[in-house]
Amino acid sequence: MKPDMFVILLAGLVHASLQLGIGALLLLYHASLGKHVKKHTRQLASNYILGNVLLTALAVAAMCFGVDLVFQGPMNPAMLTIITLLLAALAVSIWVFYYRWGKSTELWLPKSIARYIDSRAKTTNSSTEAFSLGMLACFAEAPFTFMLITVAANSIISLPQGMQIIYLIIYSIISILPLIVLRFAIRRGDTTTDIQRWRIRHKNFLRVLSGTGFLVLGLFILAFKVIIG
Amino acid sequence: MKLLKKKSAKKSESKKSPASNKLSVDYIADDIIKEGKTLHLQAAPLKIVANQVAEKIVKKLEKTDKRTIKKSDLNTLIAKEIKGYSKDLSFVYQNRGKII
Repeated sequence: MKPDMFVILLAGLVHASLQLGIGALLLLYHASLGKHVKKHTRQLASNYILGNVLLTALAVAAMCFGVDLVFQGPMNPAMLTIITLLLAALAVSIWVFYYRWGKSTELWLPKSIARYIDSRAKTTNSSTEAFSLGMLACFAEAPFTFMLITVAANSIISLPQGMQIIYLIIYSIISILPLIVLRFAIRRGDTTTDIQRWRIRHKNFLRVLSGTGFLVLGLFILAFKVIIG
Repeated sequence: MKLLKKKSAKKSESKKSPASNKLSVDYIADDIIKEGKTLHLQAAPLKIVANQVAEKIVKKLEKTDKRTIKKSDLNTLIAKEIKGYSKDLSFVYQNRGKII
């Protein structure tokens, strides 16, 4: 397996460890349970996931085009070194302020944006609204996912043409794995309190996992794409 | 703290403006029932508990001099009062607005 493939898989896993998508889906789930029958709630959750994965795939595809256009192929080692440094900075950001301190799972988002997502989740009744909410949650996480998408896109365009679309799909699916797990938890009948309790209990673990993921990804790129490659 | 009668409370709810929500037993009880539904709690006991808790809270608030109360403070108050009846429901109120 080429280092580029590892970079795509690792970037997808780090993307999956971020929490805004899960939080917004949980809000949607909680709001919908009080209003709709379970079948409709599951339908909303599915559409939310679809919106999220579609925007992720489109963002990666657009980034592939952007990188190819700007660098006429994969990025040069100097640019990759800068990206490694940015990934290290993001790792520190995740450790320090991605989660707010205290016994909750509040994230770094400004309160007004968090409130807006919350209100959107509460007013979501149709599949289209759920789909849009999925896109909104994906977009709101952009400050942290931007570098991951850039790194994945750079690796995707380094692959042979037949593999590019496959790895784009693989990245997108890996990035929404926690949402799929949550969707199955909804199907199983888990309540929002069960899921939220789990999130609070493992908040510090998730913080360390995400931050370390960013750092490892940066070091991997530095070792295999800048120094060896 | 000024409370609304049942009819006017419903009127203020229909406007759906958070700023215009005045506290009443019905307002708090309806909110608790709505949250209880999301946890699949049985409707009949939930209604009784919701009314009891709402009455307790309104009485408590009437004793204070404050004319307004923050939503977060109200949630904490409800969480504290309802803990004896349902820990899950109490947890929901503790974590309101703290999920993302």
